[in-house]
Amino acid sequence: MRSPAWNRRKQSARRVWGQLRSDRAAMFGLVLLALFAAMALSAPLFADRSELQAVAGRDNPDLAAPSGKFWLGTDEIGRDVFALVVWGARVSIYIGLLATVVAVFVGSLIGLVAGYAKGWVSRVMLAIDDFFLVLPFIPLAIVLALLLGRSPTIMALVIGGTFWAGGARLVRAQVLSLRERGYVERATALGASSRHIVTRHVLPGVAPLIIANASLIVPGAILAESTLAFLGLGDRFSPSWGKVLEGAQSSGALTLNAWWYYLPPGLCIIGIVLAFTLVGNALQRIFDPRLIDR
Amino acid sequence: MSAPILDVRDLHVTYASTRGPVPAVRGVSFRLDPGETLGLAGESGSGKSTMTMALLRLVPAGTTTTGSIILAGEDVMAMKPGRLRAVRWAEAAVVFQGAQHVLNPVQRIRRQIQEAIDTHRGANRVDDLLEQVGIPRWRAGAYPHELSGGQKQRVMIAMALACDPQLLIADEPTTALDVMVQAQVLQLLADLQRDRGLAMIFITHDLSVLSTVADRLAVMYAGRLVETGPAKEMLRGAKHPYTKALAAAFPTIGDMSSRMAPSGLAGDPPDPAAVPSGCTFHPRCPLATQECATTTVELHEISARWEAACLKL
Amino acid sequence: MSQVVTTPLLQVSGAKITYPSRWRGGMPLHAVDGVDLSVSSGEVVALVGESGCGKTTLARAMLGLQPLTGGSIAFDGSPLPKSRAGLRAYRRKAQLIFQDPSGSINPRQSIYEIVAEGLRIHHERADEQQRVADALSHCGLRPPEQFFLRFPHELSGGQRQRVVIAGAMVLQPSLLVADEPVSSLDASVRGEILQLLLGLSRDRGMTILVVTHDLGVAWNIADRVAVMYLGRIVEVGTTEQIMAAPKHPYTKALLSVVPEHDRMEPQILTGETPDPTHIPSGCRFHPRCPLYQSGEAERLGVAQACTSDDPKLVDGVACHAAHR
Repeated sequence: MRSPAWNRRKQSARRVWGQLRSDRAAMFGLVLLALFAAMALSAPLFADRSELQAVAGRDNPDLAAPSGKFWLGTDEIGRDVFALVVWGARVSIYIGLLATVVAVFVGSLIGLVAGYAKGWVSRVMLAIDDFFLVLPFIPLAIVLALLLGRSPTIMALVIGGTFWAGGARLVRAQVLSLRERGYVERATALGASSRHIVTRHVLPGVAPLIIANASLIVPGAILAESTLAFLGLGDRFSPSWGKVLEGAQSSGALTLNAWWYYLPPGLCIIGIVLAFTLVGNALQRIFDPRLIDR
Repeated sequence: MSAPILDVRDLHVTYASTRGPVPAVRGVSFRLDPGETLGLAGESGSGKSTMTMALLRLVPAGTTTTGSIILAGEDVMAMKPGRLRAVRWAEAAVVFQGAQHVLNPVQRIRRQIQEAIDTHRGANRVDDLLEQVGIPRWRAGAYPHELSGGQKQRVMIAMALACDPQLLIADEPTTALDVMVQAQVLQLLADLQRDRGLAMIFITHDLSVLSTVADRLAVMYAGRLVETGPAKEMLRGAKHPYTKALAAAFPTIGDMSSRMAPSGLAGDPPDPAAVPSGCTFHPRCPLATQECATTTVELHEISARWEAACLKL
Repeated sequence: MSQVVTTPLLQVSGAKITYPSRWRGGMPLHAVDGVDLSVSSGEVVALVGESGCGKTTLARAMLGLQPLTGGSIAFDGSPLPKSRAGLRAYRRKAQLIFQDPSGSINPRQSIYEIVAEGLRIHHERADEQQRVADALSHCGLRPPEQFFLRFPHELSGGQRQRVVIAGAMVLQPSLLVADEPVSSLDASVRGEILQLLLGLSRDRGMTILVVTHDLGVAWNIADRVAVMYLGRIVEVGTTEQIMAAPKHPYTKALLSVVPEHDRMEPQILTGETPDPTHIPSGCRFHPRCPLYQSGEAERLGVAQACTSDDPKLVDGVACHAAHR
């Protein structure tokens, strides 16, 4: 009978939304996110993608201050900074989301196995998790990026592949706790297989935790990508905000006081990280594992 | 007749909750004489724990308490905070339910008992107290987790006696214990009471336990007293249908009428937030009639010092 | 009329469950130390004892949730399966009701899902809704449809216990093991749950093993009683025999301290049950045994045996004095 499960999910979703709505900070974050999403989606309306390429013989002034034609001025090779920022939204958000999906997927899987399995399997998973937790992310990312390439997708995979460890820990802790619950033992007594227990009892118990955690990984991934871009990785001609910032820095925009070049991407990064963090914190409070069993 | 150690009149205790005010105790009156043991019987939602907490104004913030509580001649409701603190533990002490959760797990029991003594500048010594409750002196340095359930309960009793109170309130002291350990603790309480002339309120949902400890019995249901009277007589032949049901829930072994015939009531104890109209027991009562649902019943006298709240009596 | 000897439904022989010590050089914990018990089809047996005696551990072993370190358990003539598939099939026939009804149900599942879980695990989809309704109805939750979409926190403790029992019933097992089925419930609700269990035995011929510390429960519903002390059964017999004429000093002491049991002088034992890591030599009860302490055992000439020989369960009692 599908309806009780469906009903319950609807009830839960409604309750979560209600709690979110009453959290002012979270609503502010959501509004910000909506704005950034709008920015990313509407990029073609503002500027053509070709603006991002370096074209010889472009007659735009270099590093020009904002004017009626160029709302945010131009960069050192004459590209419209506004176009860069608006298209950069897509790259940054894409990398942030893809990295998160990878991190959450790998982390949850390993956390689940580490928490539910017993014996050497669990110990091995835990060891792998420990290893990735302490791995210095930047050197690894640089090496991987140099080996595998610089496209946004590769960047996202690299970041996701190193960011999963923290979430795995959380998931493992929660799974360990859920595994000992009375209703899990009852399911075993009824004859349930591990698969039934994991899908029916454990996963629904960790899902909220995973969601809350995911919303906090996104800003981390975006910041990580910005860092890597700043260090020289990333694509100049399909730049993320971090890459635009890097361009600003390497072209000396800071000393030349070309604020229209470094301020907008920097503010965007701060803005989106703030937005995700506000929403993520609110979700974490709502999905506090201690409240799971009401 | 000497003055009662505790005289409660028309006590009402109402909790504040998100769903609105919840009346947990709805007009309870009783008296307790020095050296007497009152057995207070009731189940979850009956208000018995709330009422005993209210006696020492230990209820959570936002709870309204009305009525009069006279403890050893003093009005508890009118006490200033300083006097109240002094009274708590030195005049009346509580042995809480579930001793294991009340003891501080990272402090040795010697220190916890000493704390109770020091707070009231008492003269007792920890070792003496432990001996009186049957714990060897050398165990004073133990942590709570090193003790068994029965021993922890004894430590709770020692703490309660630390300041020589005149009244001991024991809230379900033996509920989580095995029958043999329960017997030991009951024996201990009886001895202590005799030696110190303590008055005691013994709260439980197991009426058979009260047959050994209580002089008088008071049965609570949905925030009100439904029957009060002499313990032995009441247990032999209870008048109120609820008391009868409660007594039958724990059968007398050897009594053939309960052999292969468990007796119980239909339904569940009522939620204090949604109490049935009229006589609150009527939905579950085997004797209920139409008027029971519409008329509120008060306690009325059946015989000497024996009262019950039932229209059918 | 020739006597038909039927195989007992459940046969426990020499069961032992020992937990190794958690640290080096520590003593192992003998939770169950050699138990023989047989339960015939259709009867209600109460396994009585205080906390730490091993009754819950033994009950779980009967359901295959706890492996034995020694001895055997046979269900319907065959030993308990060890393979996953075997255990799964076994669990259709034997069910366990856990001690705390609130802890053993998932608060996020609706009542329907909780009761239907067993059916779904065993892939018995036919008539699922009808069977769930029947189970709930039989356990006193009527009309059952009203409960389908409710959640555990909306029900009282007694109702939750009924849901748990319904969840076990829906598979129509032949054996039901109930671990302290009424201990965490209000007094006025106990009767109905016990009536329900008794009804299952009488009307459906179900075999029930009740694990409890409460002798009153045994008096209410059990045909036979087995008394456990420190991992061993010290006395077993019909409820009437045990309650009216106990033979083992431990049983006598237990009965004597049950409140309202006026017939016997209360014999409050000193001290507490010893740790299962330090089981006394000889008869495990002798350090607390009133017969031994008072010198009665000496007079009967068994005191020596009490300290050196472990008494076997003979004629339903494991006591040297009673064997004389």
